[in-house]
Order: sequence, then structure tokens, then C-alpha cells
Amino acid sequence: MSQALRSTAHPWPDGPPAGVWQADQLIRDTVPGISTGHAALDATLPGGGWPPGALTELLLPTGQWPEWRLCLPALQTAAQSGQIVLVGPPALPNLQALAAQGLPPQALCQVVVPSPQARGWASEQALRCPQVAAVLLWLPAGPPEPLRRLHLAAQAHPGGPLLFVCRPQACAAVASPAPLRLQVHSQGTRGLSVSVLKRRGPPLLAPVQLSAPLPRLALLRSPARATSAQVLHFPRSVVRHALDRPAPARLG
Amino acid sequence: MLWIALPLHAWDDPQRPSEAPLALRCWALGYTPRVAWLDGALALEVQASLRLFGGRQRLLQQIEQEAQDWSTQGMATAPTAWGAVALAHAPGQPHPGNWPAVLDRLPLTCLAATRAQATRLRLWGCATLGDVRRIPRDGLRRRLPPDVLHALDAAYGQAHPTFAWLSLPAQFDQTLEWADPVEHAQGLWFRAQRLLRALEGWLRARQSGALEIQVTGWPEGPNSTPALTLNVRCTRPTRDTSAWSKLLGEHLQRATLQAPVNRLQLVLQRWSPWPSDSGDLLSHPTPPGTMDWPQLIERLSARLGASQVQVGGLIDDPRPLHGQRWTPALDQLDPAHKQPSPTASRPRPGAQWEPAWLFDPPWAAPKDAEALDTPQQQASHWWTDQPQHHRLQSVEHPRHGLLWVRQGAPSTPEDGQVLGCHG
Repeated sequence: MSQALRSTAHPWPDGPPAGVWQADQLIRDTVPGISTGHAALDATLPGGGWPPGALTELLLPTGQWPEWRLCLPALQTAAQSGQIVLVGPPALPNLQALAAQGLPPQALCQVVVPSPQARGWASEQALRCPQVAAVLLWLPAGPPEPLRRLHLAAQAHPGGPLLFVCRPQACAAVASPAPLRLQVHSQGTRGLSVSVLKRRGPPLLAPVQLSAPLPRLALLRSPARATSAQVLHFPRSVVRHALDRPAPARLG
Repeated sequence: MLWIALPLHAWDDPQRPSEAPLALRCWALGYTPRVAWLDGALALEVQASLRLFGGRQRLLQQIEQEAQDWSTQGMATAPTAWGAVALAHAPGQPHPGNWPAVLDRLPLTCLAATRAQATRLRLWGCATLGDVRRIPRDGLRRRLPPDVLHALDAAYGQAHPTFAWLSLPAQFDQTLEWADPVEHAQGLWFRAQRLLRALEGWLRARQSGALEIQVTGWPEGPNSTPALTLNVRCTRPTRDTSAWSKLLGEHLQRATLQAPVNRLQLVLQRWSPWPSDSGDLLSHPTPPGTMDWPQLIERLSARLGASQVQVGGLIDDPRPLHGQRWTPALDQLDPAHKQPSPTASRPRPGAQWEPAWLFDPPWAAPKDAEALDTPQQQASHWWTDQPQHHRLQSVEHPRHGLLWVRQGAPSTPEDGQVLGCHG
């Protein structure tokens, strides 16, 4: 009897087999993830980052677009190894800002199609291309079947591209085949709040708070602002527009 | 020498007995430049092509398989052209045994030269080619036209015949006609396969790859206008039939026919020399089920439309919404369509503080937003007739987060427009 109990308590003395994890721990034998750039978020994700070759679902409230804030650090890494394909973006990506933050325009390609079927098809094709490092897909609320197809397509290439699917928050109630589901709320200048709805591990009760600093905010909060003298210093080699004649900066 | 003969009586044109149809020529010339049309059969000399196509057995298999599309009746190989043609015209004859003993057993009708004299030769007691050769040559030379002996010697490899080698036109422009008109664009895909195969042969024979083809569907009638015109282009020289048929299939899916079509025309618009092999000892084949970046762009552009698949570039312009331009990705990959755009290599000063999303056209002014900084003033185009001033401000909106707002003169539509969102 005691032996039977012991064997129930430790069914796998050498750890669980592949694809099985203890309910109170994160899955261990998984592909190492690509760091999200937010240490607090990395700590909660299996593999320590965004899972390559797997579907990551981001549920976003209507009227908020925190995708770049959340994904930009990982996309900067991805842009060094290949192309980033944006399928059905909700607005125009600002190439000037993205280029300044480490996403060169040559690495970006956008597919502008309204129909969700065409968006799903385009993403599936992009996943089949080894030069593609990340696919960002925006889908309206709808049945989860297209996600299943995409999940299978992403799995076909282990260690392959990152796949983010952004859907409205209303989809949170419906089950999804994505192994990782995050609900993201933008809290404006205070950062992002990320709830992990589903992961290969125990459920996460409280949302993770990410500072996700914006360069604009850093500028607004810089000590120079406190002294009410704000001088923007551009490197001399970059300035190619004379905005006005040079004037001495007012200090104090 | 290795000659292959394919009897193709279905394509034998009594008006032009020495000419094969263009599609057939294109296909055959894709394997070897030495192709001749002899006595209703196509004769190909393939000795020099064996290595290119993976050895004798694989080449013969490939040719035999593809020749079935041309409704050929059997295939024969021999060291001489006329020998191969004679063997090909004797279906059902067992071909074992040593060369040229095989030829000896063939009936007189197999060879064009002896077929014309068959009645006379039979009177002399000859039933096979071997029987004719056993008759003393001096007597034969006196009683038969000289070309009969020469043809017989050529078949046995004892004389060197001259051939009228088949050649290709300088331009590829081919039309296929059929009886029942096709009403749906997708129905043309199957018909186009034969034209695409001919195109592949033409390109192979010319050592080039196609960049752009034009497919035109013509309705019945002499002076009709085209019911469909498609320009399909590739970013790299391509001659693979399957690649072109995939691309064409994507285009046909989106196309509609103006009228039922019973004639399909394929014109090669642009082509370029085939890039020579890299000389790399290790081959790098793309894994099955994957495609490389240009192929992906071609596929997406073909199905969704070239203007829907875009790549962006920076423009040296300080106006908030004019700092970038998106162009079709297909044009950027294709050197013939690439437009020199005034791209900037570096983002404009201060771009790192701009929002990642832009709204074009801008939104109307939001309510209950809280300003975070004093407006930042920009003046541009003061050297032109239309100087522009922008006052840009960051505001925080309780729902949309951090926004980028343009401040104009009060009560103008420009005032308070939302240009972008940080997220």
C-alpha cells in the first residue's frame, strides 16, 4: 500500500515524458523561447519567452493597439534573422518610428486584405517560408477554426517563425487551440497589464504589470522637463532639415 | 550516339511533311538541340544530354512518360537515326539481339526508302531488310534508285546522312484551339498546361528563363476582342512548368471571362538568360512544402493582388504622415519594375519619439484627453510656395492610451486631429 502511494506520488522518477507537465509547474522540456524583452513576462512563460513555431494569441480591447509596445523587443530580435510579415494591420505602421527603434523597413512586409479567410491563407503561406522570422496576424472575432489551421502550420516547422494572432477581447470566452493566450490591456502611460489566460503550466491568477516604457514618455519624464527647459539634442550628422535658425537654448 | 525515335502519326501534316508542330518542337528541343522529323517520327540524338538528365534510364523514362501526351505509339532507341525510326515503325516486333541483327529482321515497310520499293523487292524474294542486304550490291545499285541503298546504309550506320534539324522561332507566341468553348476562367488552367510545357521546352532550348508571360483567351469568331488578358510575372527567370502553372492558377482564380473562350494564346513577353549553376558541390534544395521569399511574394501577389502585398520605405520628409511610402512587394523584387523612390537610409530626427501606429486619414479630435506636454512646433517646406507648420502634442486618452495630436488654428478641421497612437 505504501509503495503504491509512493508510486502515485512519483510516477516518473526521471521527470515527466515529453509533452507532459506537472500541473503546478511550467512545462520544462520545451523549445527555448525568444525573450519578450520584459523580464516579468519572461518569468511567466514556458521556455522563458515567446514560443517559436507555435501560435501565440493576443486578446486586445477594442480601441487599443498595444501590439508594438508588447512585441517590439522580440521583433527586433526577429528582424535580424528574417522578414516580419504583418497581415491585416489595423492602422498604418509608422516606419519612421519603427526604424528608429530597431525594425528596419526592409524587414517589414504588410499584406492588406479585409477578408479573414484571405488573411488566414496569407499567414499560412508565410509560415511556410524559411526566411520569415515572425508573422503578425489581425483577425476579427470569429470561430476558432482558422486558428487551428494556423497552429498546425506553425507547428510544422519547429523552432520556426513567431506567430502572433491579435483578436478582440470578446474572443476570450471561446476556447482556442493556441498554447499561449494573453489578454493585454494598455494602461496608457503606466504601462501594460498582461493576463496569461492559458499556458503550459499552472494558471496565473494575477495579471503581470509591464512598464513597457515608451521613448516619448521617457522624454516627457526626463529630468530636463522638471527644470522646464527642454532642449532636443540631435546628433549633428542626422539633422538634414533646418527647422529654424539656431537659437541659444534657454536654461533655467 | 543514342537516337530516340517517337512515331507521331497524329501530328503528321500532309501539307508540310517535313515540319513538326511548334509545341512538339519546343518539347523535344528542351532535351537536345539535335532533333529531326523523319518519316512521321521525331528523332532525338540524346547522347550528350544523358548526364544532364540523370542518366540513360531516367532520361528514357522521362521522355517516354511525357511523350504519352503527344499520343505517341511506342518508342525506340538505336545507334542511328534511321535505325531508330525503322524500329519505332515496327510495333510489336521483339527487339532483342545484337545490333544490327535486330534491323535485319524488320519488314520492308519500316524504312521509308524500302517502303517505296516494297513491291519490287518482294518480287525478288525479299521480306526483311536483311534480305535486301544479302543481295549483291552491284545489282541493287543498277536496279534501284540510289537513295534506297544510301538510306539502308544510313540505317546500319555505314553512311552519314544529313538531317534537316528542327529549330525554334525567335519569339514564343502560341495558340491552342479547341471545340467546346470554356465558360469559366478556371477551366482554362488545364488547357494552358500544354502551352506552358511548350514554353518550358522553348526556354530550355534557348537557355533562358521567362520573366513575364501574357495569356489571352479568345472567344469564337474571327474579329473578336479578347475575353481575358492576363499578365503573369515572376521575379526571377523561371522555366519550370509547375511553377508557372501554380502562378497562372492563382491569377485565373480571380479572373472572369467576358465571353466563352475556345482559343488560348500564350505570348512570352520578357525573358532573360538562365543563370548558370553556382558550381556548388553541395546542392541546397528547398525542403518540401516550403518556399523561399520571392516565391512567397509571387504567390501572395498572384492570389490577393500585387497592390495588397506591400513593402515600405522611408522618405526624407518631416511631415508626420508623409515619412513613408508603401509599394507593391513584387515591384521591389523585380528589377524591371523597380521604381527608384526617394528613400532615406535613416529615420528622420526625432522619429524615436513618434508613435508606432499612424492614422491616415487622421481621426477627429478626441474628448477628455489630457495633454502631457506643450505642443512641439515644426515648420517645413518654407522654401516652397506652401510652407507648412505643424504643432504636435502628446495627449493621454483614458481609453486609447497615448495619442499624437495635431494642434491647428482653433475651429479648423485640422485642430485636434489624431495622427497616431503609441498603444
